[in-house]
Amino acid sequence: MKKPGINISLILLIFTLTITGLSAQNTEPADIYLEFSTWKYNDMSRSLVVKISAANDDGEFFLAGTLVKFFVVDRENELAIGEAFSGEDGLAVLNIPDATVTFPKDEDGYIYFIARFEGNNAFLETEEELLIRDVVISLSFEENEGEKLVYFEGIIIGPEENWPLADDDLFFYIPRMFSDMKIAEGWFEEDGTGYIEFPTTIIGDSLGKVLLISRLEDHYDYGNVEVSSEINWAIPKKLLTAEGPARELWTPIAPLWMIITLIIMLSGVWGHYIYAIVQLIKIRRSKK
Amino acid sequence: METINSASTEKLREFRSQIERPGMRSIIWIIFLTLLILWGIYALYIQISGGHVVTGMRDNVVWGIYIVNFIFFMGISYAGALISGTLHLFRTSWRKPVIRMAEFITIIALFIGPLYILLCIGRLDRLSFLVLFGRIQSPITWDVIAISTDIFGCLIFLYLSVLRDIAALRDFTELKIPKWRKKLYRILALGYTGTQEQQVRLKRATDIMAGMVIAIAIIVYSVLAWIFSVTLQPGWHSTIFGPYFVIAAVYSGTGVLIIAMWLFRKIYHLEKHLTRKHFINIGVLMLVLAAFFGYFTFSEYLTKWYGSQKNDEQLIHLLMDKYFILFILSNYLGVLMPLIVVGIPKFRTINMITITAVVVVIALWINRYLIVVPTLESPYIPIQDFRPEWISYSSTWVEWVLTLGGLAAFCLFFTLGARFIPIISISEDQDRKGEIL
Repeated sequence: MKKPGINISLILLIFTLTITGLSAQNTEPADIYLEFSTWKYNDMSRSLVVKISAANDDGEFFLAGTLVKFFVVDRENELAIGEAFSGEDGLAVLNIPDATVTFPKDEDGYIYFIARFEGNNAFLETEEELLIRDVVISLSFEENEGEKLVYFEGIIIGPEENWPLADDDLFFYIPRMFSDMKIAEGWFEEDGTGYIEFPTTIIGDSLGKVLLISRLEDHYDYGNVEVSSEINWAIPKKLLTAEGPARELWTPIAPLWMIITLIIMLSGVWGHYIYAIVQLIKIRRSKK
Repeated sequence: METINSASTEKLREFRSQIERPGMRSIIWIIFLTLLILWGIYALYIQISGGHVVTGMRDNVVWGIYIVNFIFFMGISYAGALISGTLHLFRTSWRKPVIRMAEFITIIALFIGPLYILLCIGRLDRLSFLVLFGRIQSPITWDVIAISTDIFGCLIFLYLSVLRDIAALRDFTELKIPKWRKKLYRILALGYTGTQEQQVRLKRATDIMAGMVIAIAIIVYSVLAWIFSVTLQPGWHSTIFGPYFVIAAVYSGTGVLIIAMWLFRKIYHLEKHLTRKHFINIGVLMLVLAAFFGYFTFSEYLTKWYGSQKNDEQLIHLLMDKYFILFILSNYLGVLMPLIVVGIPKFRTINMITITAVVVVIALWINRYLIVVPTLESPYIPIQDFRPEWISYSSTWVEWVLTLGGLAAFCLFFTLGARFIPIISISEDQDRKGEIL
């Protein structure tokens, strides 16, 4: 005998699969956003940083575990220089130590980077470009008649010749617990040099050492460039020590105040104990 | 005047089975605890014959879980004294079923705690030097004086509290116990028959001693805290360590009291005496103490962190890195759980309050561990003959077995104590009915 229940189940199954299939077909890959920047450090190493985000009805969110490929363009050719996965904060970072890659430059000294996400089922392929010039900044320190001066020089490295980094700001910081504290702003003159006075109120470690960081920040032409150097020009951090004899507690003879306090306290306590014991003795004596 | 009347006779009949002969379950429990203690004694033999190298303690981390156990047991002892003294002094109406347990906790923990100090000492043969060559300037001498004073005071208070019950047991003719026990009751009862004069004297002495044990408990536990805080060690050199230790002590002791109440309620079927009201009342005390403990802990670590002294920073880093899980368990779970469970009325069941008490007791033990060990693992460097392996502590099986042995001894003495004197005070119950005093 035919069971009608089976037919109904079959129809429901086909209906569900059809709806699911249609739903899947309607899901289109979404847009993805890349924010591309570069950092250059003391040791001439460079980091290429891409922040990856997307948006939905709830707003913008970072994408973790997304592969980003990095290229540098030499005339018309793209040369792959590495790849990185994004972390929980949406940042994919490619660190390039000095001299591992020679970046091709155009005649004005520009390097042309590309960061590319190749797309997947959920997100569309996206890429972002970055055009920056290679810059070297150096610091030197000079103390003259009580004045502490920090000299700096910036050079733009071209394909064949170099140019001075002129008419731009250079910011100086020292690290503090949560972030870097700005202590001065310098200015690159026409010849690519400049100086600042080191503030006299900065507190360093016990030897007066402090890390001085100079930075070009989010520059449209140079990106981020950071140079740091340790200098012992800060005020040494010292713990104040009491004058005169310290820790008298540990002298061979106990101080008088301690002996008196102890005698008073112990006498009071043991006096009460004796009183309680006397009451017990009287209870025993009063037994019938 | 009689020491027992119809009400107390009825009560004595109820507890008769506990006092007369132990049941099979009790015997197995006592054997189990005895075996654990024997295991502890074997570990002690290993430690004495092999030296302290069999423990995790070394030149820099000179204190480990022994000292943690010492602080812990002394803490619950002072808590017992504070709770029983306060309940007695203020004649709290619901104190009767609770007060005897608090008194037991006081005395038993007070005897077990100092044993752990002896385990820390490498040369036990020099123990007498503490008295013979004691220096008043030394915090260790303060502690020896304080603890011996406290033990003596608590013994007097406990004796005064149980005197009428002992007299009642002496006069309860239906009790089938060995002759030596009858004789012991007769001697310990001091001829108390409940005359007007005896009652007045007993009340006067008990009231005075109740006040004294409260004061002594606070002073003695502060002295224990000062052993740490008078040093310049990072994490210990703190002016609030005295009150912080006292609060932590009462907090952990409250937890132990709730656990003891739950166990005795289950084992001896004391549902009639120990009601949900008792658990909630002690639970509310635990909640208030949790808030104080959380406040002190936060204040302690905030000032150290903000001060940013090199060694304090090193210590905070250690707590937030190597000891992170323990830190969270102790200082967050141990504080928040009573606030939630007791604070929200629908969670206030006997079982939930007891589970919270267990968490609190564990959290407070960990708290003492975090006070002792990470500080010793953050020494001032350079130091003479510095070796990295000496500034890292890892407890060994010997230490854990001796810890277990102490815990077993605590449970065993509690069990035996409840066999000797009813765990619910009979005379206090008479007070409620206004028949004595």
